[in-house]
Amino acid sequence: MSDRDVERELTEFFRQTGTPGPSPQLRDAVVAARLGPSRRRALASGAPRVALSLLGLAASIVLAVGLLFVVSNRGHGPGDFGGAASASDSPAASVGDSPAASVGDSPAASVSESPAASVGESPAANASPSEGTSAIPSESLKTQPSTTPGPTISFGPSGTFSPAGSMGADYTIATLLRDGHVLFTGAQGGDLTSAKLYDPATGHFSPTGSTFGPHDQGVATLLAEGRVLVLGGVDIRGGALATAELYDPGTGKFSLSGSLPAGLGVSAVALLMTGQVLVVGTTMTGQTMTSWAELYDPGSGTFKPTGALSAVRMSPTLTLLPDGRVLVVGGYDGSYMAEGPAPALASAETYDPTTGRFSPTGPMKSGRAGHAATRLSDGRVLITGGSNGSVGVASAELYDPTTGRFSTAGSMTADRESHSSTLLADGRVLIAGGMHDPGPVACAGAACIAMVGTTDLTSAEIYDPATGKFSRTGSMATPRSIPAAILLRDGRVLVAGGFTNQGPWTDAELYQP
Amino acid sequence: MATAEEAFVANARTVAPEDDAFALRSDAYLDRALGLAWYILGDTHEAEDATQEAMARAWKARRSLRQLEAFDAWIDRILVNTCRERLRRKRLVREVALPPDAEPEAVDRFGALFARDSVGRALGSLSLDQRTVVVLRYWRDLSLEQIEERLGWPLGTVKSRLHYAHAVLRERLERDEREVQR
Repeated sequence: MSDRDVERELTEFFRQTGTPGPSPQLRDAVVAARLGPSRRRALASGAPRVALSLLGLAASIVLAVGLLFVVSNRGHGPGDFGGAASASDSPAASVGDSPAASVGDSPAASVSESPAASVGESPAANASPSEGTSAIPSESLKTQPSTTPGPTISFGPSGTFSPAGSMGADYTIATLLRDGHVLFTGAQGGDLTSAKLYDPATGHFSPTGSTFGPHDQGVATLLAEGRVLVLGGVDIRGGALATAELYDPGTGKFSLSGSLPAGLGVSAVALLMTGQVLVVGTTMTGQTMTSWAELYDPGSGTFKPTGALSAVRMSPTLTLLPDGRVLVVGGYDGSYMAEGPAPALASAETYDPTTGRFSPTGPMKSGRAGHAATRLSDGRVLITGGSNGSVGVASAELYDPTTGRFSTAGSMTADRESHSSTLLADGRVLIAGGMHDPGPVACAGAACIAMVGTTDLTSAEIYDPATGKFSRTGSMATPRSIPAAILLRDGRVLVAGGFTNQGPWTDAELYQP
Repeated sequence: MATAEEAFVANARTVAPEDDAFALRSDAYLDRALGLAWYILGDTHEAEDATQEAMARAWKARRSLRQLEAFDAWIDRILVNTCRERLRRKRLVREVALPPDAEPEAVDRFGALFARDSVGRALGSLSLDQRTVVVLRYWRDLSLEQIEERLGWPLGTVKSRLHYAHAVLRERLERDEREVQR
């Protein structure tokens, strides 16, 4: 069976198979949510749907909903369903049990099962306002206790992770402030404009200001004067968010500070030695992707175009070099392909603020996207992992700014894509989480299911520049790809959020080097 | 001269769609919303709750939608995120068995029909991410870029999830065929 056959089967299936129609209760509830709080409370208190669900009388609801289904598929109507199927036969069962679990003893199964347990045991997760069970979000959800309880501060054994409580939302951006607090923004769910401050001294996540717009998957950087630039992300309209905002730690508030031209998606930022910020991203015109670069001036709150990248790069890394230039590495080349892997770039370039130009450098030995780049204490840049466009890679490379060349730097203990890479106080580098991507696998039978698919990782490792080697260190309790990782003032590393196949996480862990 | 904040508010007031237009668009979307939630969650009751929650969130955030043309992508994203959160919450909540006399009605009848189809069963074996991408691609007929927008993933991730979903589906369908032939 070819990919085309699978596509035909799916297309035909979806063409012929209908979906349940909305029940009157659902329509009523949607309308009720548009009314004011008092009116909504009145409706909710009298609405069987909400009241019953709170009482756990789900059977009555399902009965009501089930009787009202309009199914227009393959000639079957509601009366054609025949005898009741057992719950375990339905897709609902396989969803609830996690598909990964259905593959038995596969690596994916064991990894996917573990995070749910760890999250379930987190009291902070249960206390999160965003995870309430009210079917209709109410105003009261925003007035829950404002501080999420954190753990008692203790330093774990060297080389281990320990729980650090819940952020209360699935934030995607973390920024270390001058005073040692960590600012979290870019929530993916709940209140998308919320922000939290993590206090390493108490271990608490506390609310602070609200952004004007959502910045899910956006970027941020601490500016020279102590404020934080929060920029970009995919807003909930489905488009690129162009608005820039500044967070002032003194007031705990955000303010608007200019905007990129509409439609520009931000990939990465780098604070320059001039105090300006280099912003790089992509934009789509039809099926064509182009890269762009702009300079943000915090003083005037304005953006202006600067230079032209030598290649279209989707999600490259930017790293400030000791001489003030910025190293731009890898990324997907932005070509649109209906099938197959997207080519990852081995090329690299540097941006020189004095000339405003990009110049080719390198290239790397391997194409990389979803990789990580970390400047070492000696000024070289460690590039780890990523996808070469087909499979995840474990290899690492070192960029020497004085020669403009990449050299091999050994291999991590696992291939990792979308992992974190954090320079520790002692000059070593913590590599945590990410995603194992085996790429296309030639297999047959049941074994195939167990072998394919990406797996989010709990493992972590340390790169030691002195030996040039990677070695395993303690593992996280939760597998995380695209986690936010921050070196705290006390030398610990806060690793927070990230994804698994079950969705984004709201909890955090602390690594004690 | 207006401050940036004042300009933002003024802009929102002048460009934001009228509530009536938003409500009409929401109502017209409800069927598709429930369908998408059903395919992601695989359970009618859960899908209804998720749809209700997502629509309420969308209403609260309606001022951030400055172009009604972008409504579908905007609300799809809210809905997908809501479904993912609900799946997570579901794993945190202990399930309570229904009383025996409620059992026949408690069965998700649409799900039962779904389970009788080999493609339906194969879809049920996909991971959450894989199934979401497949549904958006083949049920919603969206391009990979449109899926990228809705899920907020890099294009490569969307392609990767779709690629592996194909592999799993192919294996499941071929296995079903072999069993039928025996």
